[in-house]
Amino acid sequence: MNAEIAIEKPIKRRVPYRAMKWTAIIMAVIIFLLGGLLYYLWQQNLYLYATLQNNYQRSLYSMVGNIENLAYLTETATVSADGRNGSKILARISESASSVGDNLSVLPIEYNTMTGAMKYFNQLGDYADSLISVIGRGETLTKEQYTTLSGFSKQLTKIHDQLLVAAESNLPFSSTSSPKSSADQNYQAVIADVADTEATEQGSESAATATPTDLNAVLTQINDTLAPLAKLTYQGAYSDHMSALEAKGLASLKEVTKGEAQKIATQFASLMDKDGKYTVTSATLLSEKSAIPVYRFLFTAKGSEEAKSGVVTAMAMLTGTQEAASSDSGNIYVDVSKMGGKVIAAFSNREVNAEVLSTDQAVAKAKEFLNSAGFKGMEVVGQQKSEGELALELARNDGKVYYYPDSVLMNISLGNGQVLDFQAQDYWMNTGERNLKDPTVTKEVAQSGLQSGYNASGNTLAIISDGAGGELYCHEFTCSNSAESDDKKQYMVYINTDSGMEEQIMERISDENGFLRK
Amino acid sequence: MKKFLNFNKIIMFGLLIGIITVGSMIVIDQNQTVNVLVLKQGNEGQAVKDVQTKLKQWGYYSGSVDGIYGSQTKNAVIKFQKKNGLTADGIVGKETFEALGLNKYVTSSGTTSTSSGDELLLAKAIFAEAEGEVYVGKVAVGAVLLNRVADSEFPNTLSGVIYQSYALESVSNGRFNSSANNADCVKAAKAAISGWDPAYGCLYFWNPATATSTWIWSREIVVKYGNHVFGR
Repeated sequence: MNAEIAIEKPIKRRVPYRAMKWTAIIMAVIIFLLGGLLYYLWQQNLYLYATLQNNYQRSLYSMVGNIENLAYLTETATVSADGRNGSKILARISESASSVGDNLSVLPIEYNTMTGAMKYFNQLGDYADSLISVIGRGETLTKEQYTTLSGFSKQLTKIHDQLLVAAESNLPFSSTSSPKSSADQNYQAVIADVADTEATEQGSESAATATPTDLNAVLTQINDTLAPLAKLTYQGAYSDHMSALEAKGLASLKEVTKGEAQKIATQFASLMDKDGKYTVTSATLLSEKSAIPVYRFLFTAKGSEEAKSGVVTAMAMLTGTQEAASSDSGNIYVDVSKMGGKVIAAFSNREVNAEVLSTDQAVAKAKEFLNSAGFKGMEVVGQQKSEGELALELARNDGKVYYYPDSVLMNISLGNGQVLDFQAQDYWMNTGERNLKDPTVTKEVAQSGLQSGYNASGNTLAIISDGAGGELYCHEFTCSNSAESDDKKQYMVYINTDSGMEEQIMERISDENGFLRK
Repeated sequence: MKKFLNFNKIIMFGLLIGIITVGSMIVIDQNQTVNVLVLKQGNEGQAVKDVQTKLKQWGYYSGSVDGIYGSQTKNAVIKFQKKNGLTADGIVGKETFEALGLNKYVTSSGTTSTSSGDELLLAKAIFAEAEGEVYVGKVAVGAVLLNRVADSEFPNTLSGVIYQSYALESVSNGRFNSSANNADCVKAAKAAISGWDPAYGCLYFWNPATATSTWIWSREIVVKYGNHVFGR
């Protein structure tokens, strides 16, 4: 049988024209839509980039304007001999310095590379505020204070000139944070010259010809120039002395060992929860460099899984593992000062039972606790009820005077009256012997100076903080607006017992949950 | 051949719809701002863990409480929603949170009405930076931001501190804008504003597991709460 070998001819498959047409149409539509989408996104991106750059440039020019204004104002402040006008100029310095801080904070520069410049302008504004207080007390500015203002003026003029050169160069902001080394060497030399009040003519010429690489580098260098200049000590919240305050209440006390501190912490934890049985599962010395170095003790309920696994679990909690976060419930941290062995703070995350106590009962429990813990004569100066807890602020009162700086904070459970949290940092930072003189200004004289549209309903003597590490001895008046007013408000007005001047006004805010001074 | 062409068409149409959908999502996402906490498949964190715990307690969920919103969690949520007459979409929103008894993840109008602008802003920052932390850790984060306001090297307003360039990761990556003000964070914000400072004056906080900046590691660590360390 002859086998016939059939040779299959290759079949030429042809895609029908109609199918090809549809495929082509679909492809074209997809490409068209994709292209349109990409174009839209590209346009959006350009728009957003331009908006961002515009905002940065706006902040930069606003900052240049504010600095120019500050250079002028600090100079004119040295000329003014009229306290009334001098105060107005100083108030404008304060506002402009604050605006420079705002401008700086939104520019795309790493925040930690702008700390020197930020401090310089914060101190300038705060210094101006402190001088307003000086003038307000009827005093005239000293020669030293005028010299400081004059120094500011010279420094600001040079900073302004450098910024103007950079702004006119149309330099962009770098998309990444600029390292200090990225600044142009010539420009660095010129910027460094800004601090030198005896700048040479040659230096100024260099400024005009310098070519920095981007604005980030310019600002970083200006920051480096301003940082050593921001070392001002004066009567204000941003003064250099504020970072070196010591705990007055612990200054004369002896250091305690970790073992002694643990006994104190254990006693305190048992006061917080009389029925609970706790085990110390960790003891750590927190920062030695703090104003108040403390030993931290972690107490876990006896018999709990945490207590059984001991230190390992406790350390896990402190170092932040997930298990620790979920097992925090029921535990108590107690912090005891290394100097003097005083309880500085205690925090817990215990369950709050159903609310059964009134706020008065909870306050009584809080005072009883404070008495047992060694805090005598504490009076409530603020309280807020929230979710089964009562948050309290208590200040020391010796029967005649409220010592507001000697204050503690507490959270009390309205379920069982136990103390959930406690903090006495302010108390130990401020408390101590105070030699109070009899008030020069009597209550009657002080009251006669109050705003006539308000009724003074209460009076006591009070020590308040001056916000700059010092204290003021004042008459405290509770003033309220007229009874006819729909918007009934109360204010605490503080009149200096020595000068009779109004030192501070705080609003006393009350609602169904409590009251506080703000 | 015809089959091939049909298949080809289906693929093309599929691609077309996919591109349009993705494109729309990109365009819409640029303008979207979420104001309430919503959990869905793919989310992770403490809120998911709390939902899983509740569902497990009530027998809807048998998986592990790992804080990851996977398909098993989604199915359990759907079961729970069906049982409680809610829209069974597997997404945990306001109504589902309330039905689960997790009101702390629901924006409370009562709370916000009595809060000041700074309290709300601080609560948002605490939520964005420390949502999954223990309460004392949340207060510590709030205290750090307030310590910055009081420090001369930082802006002198809370908004200035929070929005300072590159200062908070959640602000830089946009997560901050979708933060909810849950009750726990508002309470922590109020506590920090009242003066509570478990961070002992610290100016920085970071997560040791994720922080790569050598500068931040040069700070002195003072205290640790949950996943964050606090330093100055």
